[in-house]
Amino acid sequence: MTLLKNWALQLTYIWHSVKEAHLHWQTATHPQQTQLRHAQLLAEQDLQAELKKKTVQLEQDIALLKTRHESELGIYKARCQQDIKDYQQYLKALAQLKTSIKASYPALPEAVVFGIHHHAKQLLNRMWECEDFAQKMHYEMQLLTFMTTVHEDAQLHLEGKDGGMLPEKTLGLLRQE
Amino acid sequence: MIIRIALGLVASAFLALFIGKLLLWRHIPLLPELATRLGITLLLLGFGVLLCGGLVMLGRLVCRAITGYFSAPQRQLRRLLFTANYQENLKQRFYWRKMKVAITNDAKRERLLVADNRRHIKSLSKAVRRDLSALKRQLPKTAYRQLQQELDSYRQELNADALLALQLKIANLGTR
Repeated sequence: MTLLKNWALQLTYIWHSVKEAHLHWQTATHPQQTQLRHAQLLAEQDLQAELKKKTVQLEQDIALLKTRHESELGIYKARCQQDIKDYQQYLKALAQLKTSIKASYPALPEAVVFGIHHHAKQLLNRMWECEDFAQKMHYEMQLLTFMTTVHEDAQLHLEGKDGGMLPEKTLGLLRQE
Repeated sequence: MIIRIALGLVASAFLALFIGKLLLWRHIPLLPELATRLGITLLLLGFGVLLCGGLVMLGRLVCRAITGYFSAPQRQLRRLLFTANYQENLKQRFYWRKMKVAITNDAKRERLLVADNRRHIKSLSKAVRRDLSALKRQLPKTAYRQLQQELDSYRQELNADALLALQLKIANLGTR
């Protein structure tokens, strides 16, 4: 019984020593703990302020981006509409070309007239679909040269300055290409 | 605190069970059974308190997580991430809108081209039909019908090259 009592007393003593050591530690580190809590609060507030600042900046960037996108899209749409109008003009010009060949060379077979018109249209489509700018310019020059040659032939024939019944220069260009 | 209470109850339970064992060894009536029952009750109580402590701790963690989720820094962070994501979406949307305009434009140009082709091929096919009709008496029936079928099919397909080749073929047949 005395043994049990001694064990119980020793256990109680150990327990109280642990608690006292813990209390001393808490008391000794109380200023540092307060400082740490204070620093944590400040850091949290700084983080909040930083995040808010970044959000506001991002919202401003978004507003600018929206305006820029709208204007770029508007310009692009206008350019596309202009491209379509230009294409329609080109098709009209080629149709007029065909009419002028028919008028200048009434004896010329329909197939030859169509062949010249078809070739001009192919040059036009090649130019339109080309992605590379330099190549596009080259095809445009080809088309313009072809159309100029056709008109020259027609003009010469109407003035009676060419000898034959066929638009020789035009057909020569066709054979070349 | 709860853990201390639980451990205390478990320790008491073991003590009570040990006492019960001792009383049983000493052949004392009734008391061993009582001591065993007390020991088991204390053990169950200890584990119950431990379980409740665990549940309380879990509840505290959940509350802390919810509080943290709705705290100012996390709300700000979520707002920032949402705004950044919105900006990315805007850039993607712009790209696809531009692509849509380009595709619509190409489709318009295609329609113009097809309409133009149809007009000119119509006049060419009329001319080719005229040439073919001129050779009707010279050609055998089957050859004439085949050429007619070819003409119709190329006209429907809007195949200008094939029509021109057909016209040349008819012209060559005419000169023989």
